[in-house]
Amino acid sequence: MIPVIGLIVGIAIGVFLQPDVPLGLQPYLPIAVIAALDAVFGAVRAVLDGIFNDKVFVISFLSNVVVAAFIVFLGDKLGVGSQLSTGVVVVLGVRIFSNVASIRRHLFHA
Amino acid sequence: MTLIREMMERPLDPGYAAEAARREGTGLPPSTGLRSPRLAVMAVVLGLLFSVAAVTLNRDLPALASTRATLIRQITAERTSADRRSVQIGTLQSEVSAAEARHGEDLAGQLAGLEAATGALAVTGPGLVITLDDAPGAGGTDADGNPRTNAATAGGTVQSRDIQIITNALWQAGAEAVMVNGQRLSARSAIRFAGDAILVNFRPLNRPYVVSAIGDPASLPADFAASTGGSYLEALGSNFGIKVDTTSKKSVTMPAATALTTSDAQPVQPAQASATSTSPSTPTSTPTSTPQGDSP
Repeated sequence: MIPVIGLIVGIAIGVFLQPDVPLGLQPYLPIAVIAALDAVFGAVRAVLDGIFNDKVFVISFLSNVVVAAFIVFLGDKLGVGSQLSTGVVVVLGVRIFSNVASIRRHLFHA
Repeated sequence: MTLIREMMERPLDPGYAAEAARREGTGLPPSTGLRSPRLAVMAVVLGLLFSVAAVTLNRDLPALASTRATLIRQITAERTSADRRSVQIGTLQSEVSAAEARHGEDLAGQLAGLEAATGALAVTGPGLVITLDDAPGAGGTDADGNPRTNAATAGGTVQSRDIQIITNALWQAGAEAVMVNGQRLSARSAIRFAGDAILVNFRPLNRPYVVSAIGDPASLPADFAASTGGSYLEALGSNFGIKVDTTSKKSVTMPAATALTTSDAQPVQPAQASATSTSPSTPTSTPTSTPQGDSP
């Protein structure tokens, strides 16, 4: 319950304050969102598996976001930014899919 | 392949299992539960990230959409205007052809003929080229600077009167266009003397003086030679030593005359005038035939 309330509070803060993201960081926002989603679904699965650990979740979330953004930044500098973005999205997307499939097995036993 | 299998089969961070095993080893439950403040902070951060991303990435959409709509509107407007213009072109073209049919097919030919006759158009054709130059030794001036004070050299220089007589004789002999040193003679041309220099169309000429005329190659040279101009030319050569050279040429090209526009002279009843002056008469009366007040 506490995480859901925290999530709603965070969304409310973002919607009402509408903070300005620096222009240089804007290209990394979609990647950061996907990396965060990956961490969230991994955490949900861990909760259902009964092995959730908040420290692991925080570290995996931060490292996911930072590494994904760094890969895209590196790709931009090397001139292959769009290709590396695609790669990151594919990897994280596959992970999200299989985590969601595992969650579904837990919840619906199907 | 290993990479893909690893990705597909072990999507969960192995850190969870490792940490759970370590906690079980120390006697704690494998899961830390969802009540830790660290997780609450993390959830706030997550929500913030999602909402900020959504707000930021959607903020530019209305501007983009309005720009796109404006561009589409512009394209449509330009396309309809282009369609309208092409319809206009069609009607104007049919109007032009109707007007052409009304006024006869040869209107354009008549216009070109009139322009060629009046000097408004550059022309080319067979003709006669007469080159005049001062007698040897007569080109220089005297010590007092006036060539006409010296009787010995006075006749040896080409004067404006010579050019006038020759051009008049050329018109008389049937020349259709006359040019002096590149200056086409028109209805507004004058051949004058100003001090030492001969002026044609208000431009000073340099020697040698080249008088070109376009006309019937069969009759023009003979008619000119038989006219007073021909004998005058002969007299210039034999009496004053002026160098005269007359050659028939297959092709003489003349530019259009300069300054043909009139500002004070208005056409009399344009419609009637254009109807009556369709056939260009032989240019017998040109201003060059009237002597200007320039005789020395």
